[in-house]
Amino acid sequence: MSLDLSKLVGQIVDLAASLKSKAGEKQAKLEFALKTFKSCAADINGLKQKVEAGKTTWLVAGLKESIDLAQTAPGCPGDFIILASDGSHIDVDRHQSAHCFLINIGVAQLQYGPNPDAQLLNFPSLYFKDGEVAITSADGRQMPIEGQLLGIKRGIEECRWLAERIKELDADLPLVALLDGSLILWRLAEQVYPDFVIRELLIDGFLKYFSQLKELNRRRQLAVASYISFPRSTEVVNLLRLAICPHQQVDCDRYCSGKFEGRECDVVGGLLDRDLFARLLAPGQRSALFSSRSSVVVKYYGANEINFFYVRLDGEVARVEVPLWVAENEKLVELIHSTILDQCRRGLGYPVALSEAHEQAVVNAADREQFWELVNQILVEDGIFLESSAKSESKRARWI
Amino acid sequence: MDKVSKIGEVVEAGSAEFIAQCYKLNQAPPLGSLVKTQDKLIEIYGVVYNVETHSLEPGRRVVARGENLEAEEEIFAANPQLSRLLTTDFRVLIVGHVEGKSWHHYLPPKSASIHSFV
Repeated sequence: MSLDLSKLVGQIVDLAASLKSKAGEKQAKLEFALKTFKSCAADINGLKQKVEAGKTTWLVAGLKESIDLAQTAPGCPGDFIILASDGSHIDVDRHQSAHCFLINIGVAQLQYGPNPDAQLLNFPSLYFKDGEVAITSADGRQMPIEGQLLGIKRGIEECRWLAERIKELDADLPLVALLDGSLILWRLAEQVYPDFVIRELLIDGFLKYFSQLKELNRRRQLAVASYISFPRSTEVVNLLRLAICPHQQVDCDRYCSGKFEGRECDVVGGLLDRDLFARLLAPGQRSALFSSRSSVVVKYYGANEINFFYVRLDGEVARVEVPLWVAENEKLVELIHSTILDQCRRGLGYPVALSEAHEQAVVNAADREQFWELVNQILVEDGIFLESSAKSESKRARWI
Repeated sequence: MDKVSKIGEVVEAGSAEFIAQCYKLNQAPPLGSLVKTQDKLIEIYGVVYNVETHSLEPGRRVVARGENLEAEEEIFAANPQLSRLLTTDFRVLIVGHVEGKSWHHYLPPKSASIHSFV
């Protein structure tokens, strides 16, 4: 039976009413936040000390430069390459006849200038061997790769294919490599996964490919960044919370344990960083650089520490994350800033290289069905007896 | 068929007509042209009756991009991915075939092979 929307109309009307009543409240919070931001900018050293000494419940951005910086973009180079990767996957389905998963990586390579060119590529990989579908520790413990962990693995493959592709390119033009989504694998820090999983995916996986990109940067002008559209981060707003807190030595557990509202800092609660920067930046401008103080970055990333800035586009404020070795190179930051604006202009609001990489990677429901049919067909042709669950059979047959 | 006279490749084939995809955008033969394709035994002749340039992906629409540009060539230079995302096809109505040395002004017994050159 398809979803009965008539039963939902009333509930959606209630949702709209709730959003409307919050909108007025949010506006007042934003005005206060902007005033607080101005006073923070006037006392940056005081704020830095509070950040270093504070113990907060929420993630606070690390300060690197004057927080009220609003940098206009330099001109885009005349001749450059944008390389973007994105990925999609077909998860393990325990109701199917074979235990496997598929990762499809899409790569878009766009060259602009006197010799414009485009390469649109996709790389589907099937994982089915024992050593591929699970992570195994030295003492034989196993963690199957599926669900959230498969999503993380896919992100790592996006980075790997980017590094592989860059190695094949001539080094004469500036190159900007773009990834979609955050570079901070914060889910691995949530103490859900054992150390051997973090070692395999983060230390020997993602960070290894990131270090390869850093090495490639020695041989050519290479800037690496990730782009997050409509970001939900609050790290800079949380800086304001810290500034508002009446205690010089901020300690949320000590002073506000168990409280979720009514605290002094809740006067800016509910605001997002993008709300702030939509008011602070003119279209085309980027914010100051901040550093991520996420526990996974602090513990594992080292020279690849993730820094970020916000950039105001015509339609939205986006978050751009870069590794430290890019953040410390003003020319590379300028290259990323100008090319992202250029890409969004060509892509009608979103970097065109990322949207083309996504189109190469996307696996829709029909693709998924066809994939499993192909798997079954080949297994049958090879004389392998197919088992599948009664549940999946009943979903397919849909009898009355 | 030699490389010089090759203008496209059959991508759909039926008993009375076939569709060929051009190798280069906007370089289909003129409307009404007589074209041929062949497999080992039969040469199939037809007349071009429709030429279309469209998105390769069914769900993706072309959008206008030249509002702030002076010339049409600038659109492709500024958006190099377009040449990979668009295709020009032409439809051919079959008017006859040659089998061995015999010419026949009626439909061939077999449709054109997919990927045969036109």
